[in-house]
Amino acid sequence: MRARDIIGIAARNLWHRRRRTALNLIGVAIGSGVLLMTLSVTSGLRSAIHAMIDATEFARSIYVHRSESPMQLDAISPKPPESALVVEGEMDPARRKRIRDALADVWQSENQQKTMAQERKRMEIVSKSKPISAEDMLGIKRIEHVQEVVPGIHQSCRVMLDGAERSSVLHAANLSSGLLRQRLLVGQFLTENDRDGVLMDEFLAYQMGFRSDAQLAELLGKTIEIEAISRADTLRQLLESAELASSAVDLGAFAEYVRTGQQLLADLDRTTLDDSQKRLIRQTLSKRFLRSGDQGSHPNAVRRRLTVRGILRLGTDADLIQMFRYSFSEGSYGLRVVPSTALDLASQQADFRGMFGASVFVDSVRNIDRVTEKLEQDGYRCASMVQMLKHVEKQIDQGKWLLVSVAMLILLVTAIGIGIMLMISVIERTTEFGILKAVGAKDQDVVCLVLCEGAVLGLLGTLLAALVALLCAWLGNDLLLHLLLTRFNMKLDSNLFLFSPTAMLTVTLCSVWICMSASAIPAWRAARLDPIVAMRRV
Amino acid sequence: MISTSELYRSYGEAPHEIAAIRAVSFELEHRQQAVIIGKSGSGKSTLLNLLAALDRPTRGALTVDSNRLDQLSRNEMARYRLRTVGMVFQSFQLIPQRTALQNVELPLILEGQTAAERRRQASAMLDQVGLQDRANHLPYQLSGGEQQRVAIARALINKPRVFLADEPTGNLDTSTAREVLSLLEELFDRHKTTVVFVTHDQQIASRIGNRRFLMSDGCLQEVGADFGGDHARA
Repeated sequence: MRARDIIGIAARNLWHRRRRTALNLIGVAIGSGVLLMTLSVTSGLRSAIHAMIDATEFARSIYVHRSESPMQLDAISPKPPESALVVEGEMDPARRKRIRDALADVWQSENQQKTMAQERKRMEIVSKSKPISAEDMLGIKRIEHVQEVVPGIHQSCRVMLDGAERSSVLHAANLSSGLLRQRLLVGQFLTENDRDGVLMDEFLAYQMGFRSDAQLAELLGKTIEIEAISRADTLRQLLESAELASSAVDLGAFAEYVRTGQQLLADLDRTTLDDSQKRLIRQTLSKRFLRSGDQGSHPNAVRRRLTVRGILRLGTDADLIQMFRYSFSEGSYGLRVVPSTALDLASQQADFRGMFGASVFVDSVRNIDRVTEKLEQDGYRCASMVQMLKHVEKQIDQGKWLLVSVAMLILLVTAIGIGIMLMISVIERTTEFGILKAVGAKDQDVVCLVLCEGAVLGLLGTLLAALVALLCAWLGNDLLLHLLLTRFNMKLDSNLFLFSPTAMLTVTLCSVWICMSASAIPAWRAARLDPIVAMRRV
Repeated sequence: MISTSELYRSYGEAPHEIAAIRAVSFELEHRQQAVIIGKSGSGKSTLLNLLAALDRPTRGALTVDSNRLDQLSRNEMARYRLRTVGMVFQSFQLIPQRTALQNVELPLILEGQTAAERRRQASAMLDQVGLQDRANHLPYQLSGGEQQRVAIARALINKPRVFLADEPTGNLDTSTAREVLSLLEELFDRHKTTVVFVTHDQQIASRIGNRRFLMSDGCLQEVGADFGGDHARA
């Protein structure tokens, strides 16, 4: 028998029992469809994440540190009231939104309910971890494929300009960063030798009184004074004060305690207390409740004058890359200076022991693993996008195999259905097979006919599934991209459903193989029919 | 052409063994037409099934056109049925979902012929049996006589050297049976095949064949034109 005739006869037989065929086709299509969609969406998602990460220099960076445990602390952030989110000044709507988000961040950081135990833990981690020195950084830079090492300096400081004063953080900038360069709103980017230049974020500028878009340009070229403060000292003082109040109090309650104390000092003159009583209270409370600015300079403070070169856009409307960037401690807020200036400021601190961490930039993504291995041999703990990517891929793969298992289960159940249907069909067509054998059909001809019916079911079911999957992908791609952007702040430009020929072929072969396997028993039964007995069933 | 020697076919195990064919020995030359007559259950159809390689003898030798049927494998038996014999049955044995033309085409499909060639040959064969205009009718749309003609066309489409007919007129009324017999006689002459024709009807048997056999209780004996007189009628 020719293959064409076998397929034709099988197709005609399936058409003759079209209701049963349709039901089985639906089963095969659902199973194959789930399988196909799973493979396409995992492939699409992986490709999109790769494209997103590979597009930046950030994929080539490794964050190194020597801490023994993670620094993450779980804090509960309450929702800020609308009154705390009012943005003043004429500005671009997008910038208004960024400032509003920044106000919300600031309000939440002031009001988050971090417990004293958590803060103590952070202090312990910082104090126990072995710092990275300038010599260490030179050593890292000598590793093959390492292009640049940016010290992880995030210096707490006070910023003063024209009588205005704000707290902020000063970071060592990665001068080769395209991402940072893209955030420049006005002004110019820092150069390597610009040791007195500084880049300020737009929110700090807003807080310093440069609110409208027009006012931002006025800030360029102005000299600001910064006063670096040892974070460890500040925290230690805070803890000591808090422990005096109560060992169980949380920072939110402690902040309220401080505010109440400050209010009491401010309103002291309006009370009916006599002068000696007022003096006593001032002496007792002022050390504890007045802000450092109210008290004058911090004893460990280091001062420096810097010139504003440019204003940086906030990263609050950033995509996933910038979220990762934030997780690598570069942050979105604060001031940025060239690494040498940051190192200079930090090293002048009395308690400076070295950097907690540093960002290492490698020449190619392909060399990340090699450099990571070398850094780990040298005793550093490393975190890179490649490692994160591997973790994400592992998660995607786990999800994929779960869905693939479900799809295979559906196909298996369908296969059992197909097997039963074909068995019934063989019983119904006993006479037909008897006649075929009586006129000269070999056992293998009959086997081929029945197996072919299963294969046609598998093939048609997969084709149907492919059509439905393509339609779903066409309709669902934009919807999913929108969801990722709005729900997860994840902006992807590529297609989330990738139907590779390999995946299509794999699903088709898998489906056909399962359906043919289900047809094997009915086929064997049909082949073994005795033609004389079969023909007597008329 | 056909040679049997001490052919036995029995069913079941001893002591409940039932012998359908007992020590049948006969020979038939090429183009000879044999008619086997006998009562129901005498073993006629069993013998025909053995000659068609639909069944295997319990013992004895059976040779058809130099094929030792008692020694063939399942595949060789299938090839023999396809290329050497054509057979028609009392109950026509047409596939109900296939048209007359498609039923006639079946052996050609199994031979692996092209669709166009199959169509040409099957149409020509239907034309020979007078059913050219019924080619696209399904079996249930045809009369009994027409169905049997389709079955005859299917049996002859591969130009078999042996034609076996198992009571081909058994399900037909007298006039239709006569028509079918006339057609068979004409086709036997045209195709010059060896024929083994089984019937229980002596009147029909008397019209066909140049050798006559009587089958009784599984035993076969060659008889004269009157089928052994009273013995045949018994």
